[in-house]
Amino acid sequence: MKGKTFFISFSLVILTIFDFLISVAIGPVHISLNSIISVFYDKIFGFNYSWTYYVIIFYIRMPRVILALLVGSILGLSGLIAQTIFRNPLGDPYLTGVSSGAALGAAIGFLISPFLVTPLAFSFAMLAVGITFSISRTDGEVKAEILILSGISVSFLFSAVASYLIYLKVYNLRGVLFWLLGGLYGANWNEDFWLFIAALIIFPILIYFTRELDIILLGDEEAKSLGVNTGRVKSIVIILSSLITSLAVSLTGIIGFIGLVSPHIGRKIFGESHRYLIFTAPLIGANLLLISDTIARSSPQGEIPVGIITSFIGSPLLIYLLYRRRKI
Amino acid sequence: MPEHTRNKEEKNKILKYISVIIVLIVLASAAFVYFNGLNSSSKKANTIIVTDDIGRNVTIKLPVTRVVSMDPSNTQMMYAIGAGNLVVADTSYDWWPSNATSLPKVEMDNGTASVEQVVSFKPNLVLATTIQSTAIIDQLKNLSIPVLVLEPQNISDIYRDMYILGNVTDHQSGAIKEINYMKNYISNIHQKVENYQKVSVLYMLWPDPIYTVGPGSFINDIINTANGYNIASNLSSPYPIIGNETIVSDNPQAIIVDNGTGISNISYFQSNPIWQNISAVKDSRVLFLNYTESNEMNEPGPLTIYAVQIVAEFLYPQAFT
Repeated sequence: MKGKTFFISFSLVILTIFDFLISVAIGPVHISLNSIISVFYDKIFGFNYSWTYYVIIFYIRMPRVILALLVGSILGLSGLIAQTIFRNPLGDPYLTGVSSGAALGAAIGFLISPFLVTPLAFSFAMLAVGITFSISRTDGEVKAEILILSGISVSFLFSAVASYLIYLKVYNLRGVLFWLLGGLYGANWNEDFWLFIAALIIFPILIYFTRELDIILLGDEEAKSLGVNTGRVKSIVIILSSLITSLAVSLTGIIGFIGLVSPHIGRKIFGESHRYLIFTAPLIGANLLLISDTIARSSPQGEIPVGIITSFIGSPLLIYLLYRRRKI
Repeated sequence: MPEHTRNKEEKNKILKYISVIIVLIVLASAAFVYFNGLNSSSKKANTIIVTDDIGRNVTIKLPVTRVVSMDPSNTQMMYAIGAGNLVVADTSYDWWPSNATSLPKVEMDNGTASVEQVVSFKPNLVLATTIQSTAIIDQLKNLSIPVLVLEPQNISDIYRDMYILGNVTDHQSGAIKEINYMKNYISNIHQKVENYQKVSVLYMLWPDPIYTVGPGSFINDIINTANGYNIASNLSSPYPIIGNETIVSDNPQAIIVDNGTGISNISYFQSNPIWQNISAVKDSRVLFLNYTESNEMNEPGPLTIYAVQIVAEFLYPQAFT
């Protein structure tokens, strides 16, 4: 069993590299494999290279592919953490109010200036998360049931205001709709860099709590008897995952489903233990989003919001896994 | 066993009742439709039936004396054909002519108007675009207020819609005069630029993602009329998103930036490696439309001639010296 799990994990890494290379080679503008290789070759050795291909590969495709990997893994990991902390299979990274907060910020951004969309989305996502937490903190402890309820209440409140603004005030309806469904069209190296730094800081902290996450799954009483301070661990883990999710969402809009489905796919393959899940859920999320985004941006009719594609690919995958498990 | 048959009998009974009721309802509604139809056809004495831009046949009682316009483009066409004095209310988006700005406003932040408020202006004709939901158009129709949906998709649609408005408001000669004026104005511009080699152009409606104008859109027709080549003219929808990759590989010679993008300086393009080497940016052939110019571009109507002129002068300055 252990060897098999290791083998599948290893092939997941190989798959990711493979997907990465494929995605760089695919796009709305056809660039042959030969030209791609020669662009790299000419660039490295300082020959004259085709400016068009160079810009498309280095400034459009690569940043976007890397953003897809980063955001996908962030959503996968945050989804896993939400499902564990809430002990609820429907948990997703947006439960603490991230998405509706970001939507409100973005709506205000669309009203004022396109360039305020990202900063406002991030600020309002953090505001929503902050309100959710301050409501659910009782006696210095965060209770999962209260957190989920306050998250939902805050979400509805923020969505109501966002819907009001979008419906009545925002002129560019298609732009807002596109943002709400998510898309990685704005990718650039700068965004990649900062998101990577954030992931570099936050991921290891989350991975550090692997054992505690396993124990939390057993329930609060069991966890206490095993000497784990669930309140503290839950707070740290959820706050950090909400923070990095807010960052991802403010850059790419609300990409649904990845956070919900990646941990489940991981669980069906590797079982409940977080020892593997903490690495595989983000990897599965990264692959799902990368494949979806490559399809979204390569459509000949112009770009499709990636959220539509993620559901289209993710659902059948999960349904298949559920079905297979039932048969066994 | 006997209970089973009794159940069956009861079921049959119920079925019979239901079918009788259904037959009655059908008969009643047929009668209603029949008599209603008689009623309306008897009133057709001084009415006009016109086909609007979404293919509805609209029956309008004449004379039209009070018009509510729910779109700036419709207001502008009314004023241009000399029927502006019939407009009793318009929208807060109206800005031209200056008379239109002082009219009472129909409250509608983003499309949907309040039926109650429209009715309160006692119109005998309402002008709308497809932004209004069909539910509202139907509601007004049920209150016997006819709604004309006029939404020109190209320049010849403007002529047709002005002609319709002329017929409906009894301003035929005003409409024909305006149509001829516009046709002359545009053909003058066209003659000046038609012999130049077409300049490829990107029209930017929104920066992130980049929305542009595709085939079937109004602005695409303006670009074509000004002898430009819209690089998005082979995409499949009127307002498509155009990928960065496509822009880089198509390498447009000129860029027109809508006021709605919030971009008003070429440094936005020059500082971005994706844009830096695009011909239009290298040659500084980027036009930033101001608020008025963007309105002229986006509101089909009498001002469209100025939109054509703006694009033509930008793409072929040598033709206008």
